Amino acid sequence: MTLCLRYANNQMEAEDMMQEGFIAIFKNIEQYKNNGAFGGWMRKVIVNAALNILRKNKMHFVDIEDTSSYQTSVDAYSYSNMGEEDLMKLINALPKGYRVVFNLSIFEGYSHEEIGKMLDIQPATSRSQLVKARKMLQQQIVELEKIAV
Amino acid sequence: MTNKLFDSFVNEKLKDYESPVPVGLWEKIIAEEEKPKVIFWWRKNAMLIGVGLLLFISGIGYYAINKKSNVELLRANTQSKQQNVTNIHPNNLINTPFDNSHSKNTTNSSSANSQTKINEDVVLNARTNNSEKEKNREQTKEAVININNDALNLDAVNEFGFKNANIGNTNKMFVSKKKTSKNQTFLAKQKSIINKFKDGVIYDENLYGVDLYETYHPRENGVLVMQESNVATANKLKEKQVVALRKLFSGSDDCPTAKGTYRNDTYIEGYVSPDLSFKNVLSTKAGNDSYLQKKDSSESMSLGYTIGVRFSKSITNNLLLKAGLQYSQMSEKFTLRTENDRRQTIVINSHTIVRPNQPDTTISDTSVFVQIGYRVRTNMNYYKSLEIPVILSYEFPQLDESKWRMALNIGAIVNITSWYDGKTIDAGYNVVNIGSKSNNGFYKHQFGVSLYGGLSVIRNLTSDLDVFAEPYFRYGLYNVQGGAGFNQKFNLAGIQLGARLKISKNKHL
Repeated sequence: MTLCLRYANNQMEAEDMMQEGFIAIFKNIEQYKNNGAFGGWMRKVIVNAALNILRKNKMHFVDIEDTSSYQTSVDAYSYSNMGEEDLMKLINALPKGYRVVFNLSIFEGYSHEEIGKMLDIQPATSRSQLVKARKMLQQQIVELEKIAV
Repeated sequence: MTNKLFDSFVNEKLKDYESPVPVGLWEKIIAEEEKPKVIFWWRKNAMLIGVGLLLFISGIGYYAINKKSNVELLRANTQSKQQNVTNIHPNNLINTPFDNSHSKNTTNSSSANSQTKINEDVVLNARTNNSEKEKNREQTKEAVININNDALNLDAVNEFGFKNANIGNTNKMFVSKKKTSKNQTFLAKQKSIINKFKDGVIYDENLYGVDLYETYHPRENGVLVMQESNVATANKLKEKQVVALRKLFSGSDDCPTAKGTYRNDTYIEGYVSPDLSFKNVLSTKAGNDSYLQKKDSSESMSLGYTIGVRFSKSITNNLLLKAGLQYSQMSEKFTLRTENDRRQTIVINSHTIVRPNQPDTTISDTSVFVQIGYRVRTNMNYYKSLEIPVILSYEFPQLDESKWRMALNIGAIVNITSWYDGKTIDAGYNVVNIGSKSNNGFYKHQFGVSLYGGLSVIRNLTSDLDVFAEPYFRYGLYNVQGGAGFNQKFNLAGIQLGARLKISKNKHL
């Protein structure tokens, strides 16, 4: 469910992703060749289902205007205080395009070339979306720390 | 912190993080998995199938409309060739063999000599070159039944539906058929009818392949002659000719109409149909994606029905125009899970720490246990419409002795009024009624047109009564406007089951 929540815009969409993902797993279970971890295969199928739903809901890769004039710097202490739930919320708050590329790259370990093929975008676009997602996330963490202090 | 460190931190942090699976999701997955695969496939491809079916049916309809029926060909040939016949037989003497092997001598005679001649002839210009003849022979086979006795002839001509004005001096009737593979069934039927005649009718396959060939014995110099004394026999023959040609023209004992050979049937049809509905929701306002998702997940279409009555009138032998009135009801299941009750239980855990030579210390920590109760609201929604179907139907020619017929139908369904009953959610996720008898409900009443395409299988029970089954698809061209920034369109697929009663048949002129 966490996996779906990371890709989805909201709880309902995450539920749809999970439902579609498991239906795809049941439907294609015979395609699993026993040549890898079953969990990894399931994860791939669910990610594909999530991407299909996002495609249906018209995923756009737009650049958000960068208004920051300084390089975000976050110390390790801020990270260590960060709870999982808060981090999830911050990831969910990322724009859809940023979020998908960030998830595929950081959590699933896909290269930019692979992400480009999966999302039908240029590898360079994937790269820039990841950089911007990372930057935005770091800014959000800093903001969160400021509030906490 | 470098990007790499940041990435690995995020990854590690959320690697083992688990989110609770919503209540009822597994049940939903299992229910979805157990749904019939065909429906799943059909729903996914409904639009493609619908468009494909419409294109196919439109193509067939176009072909059918543009194709001249055999009867129309007969009429066209009659008009174009009538002059030729007159030229060939200026004295009403008919004897122009089509083929040398069957050549006959010309015998002059006139109506004044009280001889009645029943001759066969080939209308096409027999004296033209062979290649022309061969070409014509391949294209058109014609037989002329020429009765020179005026009284006898006029009666017969009237019986067959030709106007007196067209009779002129020749008094000819034509049976014309293109010799194509499609006509083989018709020709076989013709042959079988002709073979039934025992007195005076001869079927001559060598001469024309398969054609109507009427003659009388004896022949004089190759011309078929009937003496005046045989008028009684001639009248008897004429009656048989009438019956035979009725069958040839209309495929039944019914008479052709004043228009010549057009079928003149009127039917009243009653039908009922189980329908599967497909809803397509289109957003008309930015930023309501989440709302529409929630709405979509709370609604699912279920089986509806259509019941109606219509009149069906033949335009040509194969084309019928249908119009009537029908009531259509689409059903939708509304299921919404809403938070109904929230209970908090405070749990205090106390631990006592026992240390040597020191007093015991009691530590308490407090945790809050939250229980959320959900209410699942279910309701059946009904979208009801009163509609006028206007359909053009092409009936394929009935095979000999067969009681089955097929027909292709295309047309439009005009929605004249509609009303709704049920519940849905508004943009604030509140449950609201969709029902209204005026125009101020959540859904606005809408007039509109749907495209219709279907394929009928018709079974003849008696001469006047048929039953039919008609799978069809309806593509909605109009939107039902929702009150929260969206439009929804409905497409339908179903199978009409019904009966039709012939209330008017072909008439004599």
